Amino acid sequence: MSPPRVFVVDDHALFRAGVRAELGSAVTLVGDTGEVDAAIVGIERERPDVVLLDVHLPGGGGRAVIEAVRTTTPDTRFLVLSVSDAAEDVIGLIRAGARGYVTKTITRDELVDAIGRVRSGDAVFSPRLAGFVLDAFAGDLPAPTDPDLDQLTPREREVLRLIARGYTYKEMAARLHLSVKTVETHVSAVLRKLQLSNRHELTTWAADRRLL
Amino acid sequence: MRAPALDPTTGVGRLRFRRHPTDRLATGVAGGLAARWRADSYVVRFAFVVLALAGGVGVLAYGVAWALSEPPGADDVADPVVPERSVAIGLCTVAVLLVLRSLGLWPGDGIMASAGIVALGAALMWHGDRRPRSSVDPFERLVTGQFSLPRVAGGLLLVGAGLVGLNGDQRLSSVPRIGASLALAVAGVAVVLGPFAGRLVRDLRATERERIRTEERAEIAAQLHDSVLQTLALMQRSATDPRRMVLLARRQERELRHWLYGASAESTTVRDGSRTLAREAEAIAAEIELDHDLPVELVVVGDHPMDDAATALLGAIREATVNVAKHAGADDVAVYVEVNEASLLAFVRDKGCGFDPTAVPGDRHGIDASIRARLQRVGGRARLETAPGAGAEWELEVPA
Repeated sequence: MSPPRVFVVDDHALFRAGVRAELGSAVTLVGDTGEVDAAIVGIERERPDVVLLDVHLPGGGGRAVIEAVRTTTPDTRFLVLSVSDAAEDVIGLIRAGARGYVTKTITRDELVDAIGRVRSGDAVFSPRLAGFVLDAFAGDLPAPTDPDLDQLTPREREVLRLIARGYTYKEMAARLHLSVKTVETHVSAVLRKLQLSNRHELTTWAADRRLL
Repeated sequence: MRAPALDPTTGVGRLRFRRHPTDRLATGVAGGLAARWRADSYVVRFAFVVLALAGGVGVLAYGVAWALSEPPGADDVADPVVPERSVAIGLCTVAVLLVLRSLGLWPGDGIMASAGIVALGAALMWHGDRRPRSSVDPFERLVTGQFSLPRVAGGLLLVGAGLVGLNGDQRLSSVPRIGASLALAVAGVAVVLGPFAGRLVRDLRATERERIRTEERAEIAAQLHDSVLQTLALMQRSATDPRRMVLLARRQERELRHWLYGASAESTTVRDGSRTLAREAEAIAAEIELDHDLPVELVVVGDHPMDDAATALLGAIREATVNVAKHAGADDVAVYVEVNEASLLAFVRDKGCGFDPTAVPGDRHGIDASIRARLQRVGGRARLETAPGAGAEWELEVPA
């Protein structure tokens, strides 16, 4: 498989330069910018496989970028790279359609791995985000509007706990006697629930911070 | 009787008119009439009011006008107001009033003089104010306006009306009359001084906001100076020691995040200042990073007040983590704490050298024993999973 075509959107020029130098040959960088409008134009022109997207951007934030190109370039996938691992920063972006979230302290190899995963349509959670999802989906709802979306299966819960405990997908697969593919399927299912569920915790979290 | 000719431009009969869609206080009749006559709508309004005082003629006239009116059109284009027509309407009103007086439809000279002066003053103040009525409330207009001749004249007329009322007709019982007169006088003063008072309040608010901003800036500057700038200086001096740089950066990140986001970054369920499992776990993670130069990846799900069980669990987490720092040779350690209905659960995992649990050196065995003993005292348990070269993971659990 050819290296993924990656577009970087981050308003810190230093960080963009760092990512360019670090990713090097592992990916094909097709562009980078620090502005929402330029990002929208660039993404629509280059149609990258993966966009590395910062949460906070002048002129609307990462969410504005995702929403603007969602219909024009549906095949482009978004990986949120944030300096903050506050869940409220990222929940809005995940609910807007991002496939994954990692902090900027991630190592180079982990980042390359995460880009590959997001490109192939899988989900990438940081330990902290896994912890947040477990928090948000804790307990039974008195009357879930959609049990398929509003509750995690025991297996999904197990997978999230292992992410929070610092396990890689490979280590998880070995521990749970599953294939890596099956682990990825579980994580993707959790991502879908995170995006579509109307669970009270998710909506109030996001609404409190005017993310919805 | 001949049917009224239709106006070719509006499609409305000559005797008829459209009620005004936007220039309206009640039904838009006065606004519609004013637009039709190209006069100021407030002049028409005050004419109705003054006539209403004279034996209810104004009410009757308003009713007739309403009956003759049509519903508002979608896009009525207003012709510019002609000031002379406003004056003409005012004079017509005076003429009608004189006729009514001679007919005996008259509540008294004092009242009518006051009402007339009030109407004149108000018409002066609002004259030429063509903003949509809905967008600005009258009080705001009162305090945001500028000093101007019409405003001062209008206000003084109101004061004058009050004084006329005080000295005027004696037939009414005096208490309500004096009350109304005083109210008029006060209203006049308010109209004249309104902009001044409004500006004063705005200035005070602006000063207060500026003071708060300055204080916030000073606080942020102090915080950044004490923390971020110090750390950056230390990092420049540690440039040859990447590990130390990473730790300095991490410590600063944790501190700054704590300062920026406060308790919300740590715990979603307990928001007051009390000690909780989540907060204490954060504190332990920070302390170990500082004392042992080992990055700690901490995730806490749920929270729990501090009690014997939580204290025991935190003690065990601390020992397990220190153990990793001293012996595992790992790059970092992951600590996961979960609170569920039945128990408090923690995992301490490293990807270091691992070891054979059956053949451990003495000091390690001591730590293992103390972790287990600590948890057993509160009815909990500890389980260790490790092998040489495979890292290690403690599973620690105490009943909630």
